[in-house]
Amino acid sequence: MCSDKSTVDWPYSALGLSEFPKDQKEIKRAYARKLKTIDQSTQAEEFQELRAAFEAAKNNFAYEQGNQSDEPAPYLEAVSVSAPSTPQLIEPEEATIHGEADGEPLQLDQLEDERPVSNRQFTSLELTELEQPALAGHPVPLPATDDFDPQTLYALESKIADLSKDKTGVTFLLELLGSPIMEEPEARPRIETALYRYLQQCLTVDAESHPKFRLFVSKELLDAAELHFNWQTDVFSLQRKFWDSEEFVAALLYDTIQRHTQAEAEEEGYDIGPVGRAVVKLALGGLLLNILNMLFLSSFSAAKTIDLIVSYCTQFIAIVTSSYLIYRVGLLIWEAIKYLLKPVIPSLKPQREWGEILSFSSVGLLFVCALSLRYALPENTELHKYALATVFFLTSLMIALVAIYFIFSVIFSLLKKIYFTGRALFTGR
Amino acid sequence: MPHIGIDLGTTNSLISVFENGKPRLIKNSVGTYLTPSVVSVDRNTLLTGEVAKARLVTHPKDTAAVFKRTMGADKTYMLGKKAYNAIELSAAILRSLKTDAEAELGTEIKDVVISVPAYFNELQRKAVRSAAKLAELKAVRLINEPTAAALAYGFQDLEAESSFLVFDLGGGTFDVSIMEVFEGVMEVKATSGDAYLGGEDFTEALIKELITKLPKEQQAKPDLDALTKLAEQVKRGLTEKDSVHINLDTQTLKLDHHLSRTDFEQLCTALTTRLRRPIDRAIYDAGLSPDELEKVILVGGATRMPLIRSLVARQLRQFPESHIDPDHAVALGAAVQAGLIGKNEALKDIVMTDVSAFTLGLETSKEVSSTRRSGYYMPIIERNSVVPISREEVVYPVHPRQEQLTIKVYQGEAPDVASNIFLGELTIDLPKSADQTAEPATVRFTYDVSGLLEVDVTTHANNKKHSLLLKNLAGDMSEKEIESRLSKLKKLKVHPRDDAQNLLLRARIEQCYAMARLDDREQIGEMLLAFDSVLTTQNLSEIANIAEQISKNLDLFEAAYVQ
Repeated sequence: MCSDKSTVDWPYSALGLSEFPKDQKEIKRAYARKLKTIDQSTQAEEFQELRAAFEAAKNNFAYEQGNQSDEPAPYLEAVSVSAPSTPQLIEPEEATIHGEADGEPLQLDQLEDERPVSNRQFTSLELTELEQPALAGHPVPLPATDDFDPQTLYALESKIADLSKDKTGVTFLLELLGSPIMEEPEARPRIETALYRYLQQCLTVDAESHPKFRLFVSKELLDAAELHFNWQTDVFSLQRKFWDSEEFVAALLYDTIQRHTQAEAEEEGYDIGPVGRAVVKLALGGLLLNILNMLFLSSFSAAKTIDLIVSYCTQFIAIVTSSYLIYRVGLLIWEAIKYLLKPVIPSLKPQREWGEILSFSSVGLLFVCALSLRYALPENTELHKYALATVFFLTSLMIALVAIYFIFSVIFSLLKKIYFTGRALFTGR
Repeated sequence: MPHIGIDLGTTNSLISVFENGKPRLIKNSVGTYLTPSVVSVDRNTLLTGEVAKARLVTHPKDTAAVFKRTMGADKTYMLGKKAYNAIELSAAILRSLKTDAEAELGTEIKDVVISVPAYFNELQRKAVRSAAKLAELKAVRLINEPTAAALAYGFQDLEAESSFLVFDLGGGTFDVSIMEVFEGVMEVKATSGDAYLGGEDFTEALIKELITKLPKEQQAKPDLDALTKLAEQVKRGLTEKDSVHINLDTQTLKLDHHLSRTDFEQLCTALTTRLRRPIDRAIYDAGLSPDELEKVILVGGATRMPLIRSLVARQLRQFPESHIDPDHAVALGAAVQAGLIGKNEALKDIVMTDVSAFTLGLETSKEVSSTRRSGYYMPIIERNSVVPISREEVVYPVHPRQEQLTIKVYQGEAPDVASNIFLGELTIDLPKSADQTAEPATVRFTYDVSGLLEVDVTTHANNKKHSLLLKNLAGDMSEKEIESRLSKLKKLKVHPRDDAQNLLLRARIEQCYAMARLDDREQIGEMLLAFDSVLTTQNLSEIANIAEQISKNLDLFEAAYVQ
């Protein structure tokens, strides 16, 4: 068989196996043989291919095995474990005998074989204790956990499930997380699951439908959970353990992401650009002169000079401003033209969306432009009058827009409220 | 070329060589394997190891310790009048180890394998590489500490097929690794840990407790250097005995306190809680159950503490083993790795594969009911993937008319990037396609065997490739920078090796002098005088004689105040 391709369909061939392997060992042996021909630091790609083939072969083999034999290992585990009433049988000393292939405990196992698998809840608990025979060589008994009754844990689980979803429940959980029971390796995963289920029922959404926890779920509880289960710092374990954790994770993140988004929004702010800043400075100068003018009254001869300077200044500022603003308006118009001409000349690339061109801020720009033109143009000209008319027109337009926007937003928020109340009524959240 | 492995530890460093088919540790100039990771400057002479450690009490202002914790960060330490960062200090340690090995092996040493905590991130790994360059060494490979320890054990028993867990609690870091051995392949299945948890934290907890027992006027400004030394001795005492009694009366320390193992355990509950989670995580990631582990191995000096042993036994239902000295395992494993890289004859049929300890990914934004929120983490290489590995993912611009794309690279497991470690960013121009919309780009992460990351971004519209060089603060140094630091270090004289023993003894006398009470102090002062006068005669046998006598007396003295 050719081994240089078809690694995807038949992973075994990439490992150099021509037939279906007899056992896992054969796969491992084949992988080991191939691996020794590869230099990991220089042949990274080959290594990755081999690795993928190895994983695929292992998975495929396990799958095939599962199909072929009806002797499921997990069943045995579950059976020998479904004896919540006999924890004292599995004390360390006896377990040691068991490991040395003594008959008695084995019979016990066989007895239990007949029992139905009724309660898988205890799987993780006693499984570990049964495996102690592996240590047969050790003379000293392991730290005992007799003080730890599986029934207690079961009762605790149902207690957490029935806890009230309010502050008292949270206080109880906080106390639980601080208690020594958290040091028990068996108890930890089960308390984690119970706590997860409890918090899952405390989920709600904010006005933007982002999931979050209800208010009584205190930061202390989440911090304590973080210390024991690392939910916030190890989200992948959480996701692998609980398939329905998507909203839960989003809720855990609620505070951090919210803060992040706000900080970003604050950072942006409004920038008036270099020209804008220069104009503002000039205008401030004019204002200062005006104030000086008022202080000196008109009786002084200096006042006249200042008056003159002020009027020139105003004119000058207005000219600079208006030319800059006309340039901005021109840009906007050019964008609009680009859009209109795009079907004819495809090389034109508009930089803005229509929404940006026809926006409230564009109207504002036009308004400021017209206002500055009115000051820039000499009085008694036609254009001067037109500018004034445009200013009035734009002012009324802006007021109208604001009013419409306000009315719409009120209506919209009312609708939203009605929708949420309705949804809450039906879903019961 | 000898195959050299170095364990650059938080508290102690070691160097070892792979020869005659097995790894072997190399003794330092004062005849011990462990060289304390402490650096001190005496006028213009650079002191490292045991001598520098003794000076921690007598000359705290000229001495720096536990600097590995700030690897890759911007912290500097003042030694005398000059400032040094963790890289330079580590380089000094590496240099002294190098000299020891060169003296022992009689050849020049260039290529080495250096161990780093599995939880060291990109920046910290680069910092270690820079330190090696400063010591005129070439770190051909960085190996994860628990992997190295596992290698030291796995190498001993290659025939058997087995899975075992390595619990490595060093001075400053905590790592857990699970390794499977079959057919000469040593495969690391999972690694996890805590980069800021180690034996030093237990000492710290003890110091805090001891401060509360000091008289009021001393509590305000406690003598931390002396307390550290004391706490370490108490910790060691509690490892051997059930309880210790501290009885001290010096100018800065007046203590009469009894401390039992149970008291100490209570002081450390917050720390022991943090030890449990990484174990759960590693077992879960390896896809095993605790009973499938055949052995549990303890590595790192801090695992000598009985409270750690009982915690591990309880958690994993197994008695942990440590038949290789827990302080030595990492260095021995690093030498095995050096032998593997150097293609040593004895290691012809052995391969080792390792995994990445953490997840690497990008920042993305998500649309949540019409508002776009940024700050979400998109993993690309998941933790515990076998390295070397290369993965790619296509990223799409948020806006159709977007002109630039900023790729921010993060490391960590949290779903929000703010809680993960920022590694670097790359901004590329996004070329437009024929219909004027921005095209996506492919981001490829490549993670090599030393745990160093490379990021390539290829834009789809024009197939242009951009590479991200992770340049960051203190971690990476340019060639020029390395040269200037090198000359700075070279200005310092290094104390001659032959004299190291005497220098150490003298520093030790001074240290005891500082700790001693009135009458003892006078005696120790006399010892110092006598020793100095013999030293000037340069009569070797006489020096050896008096040195032996003095150290015996000092042993007695030190044993007296922590009972």
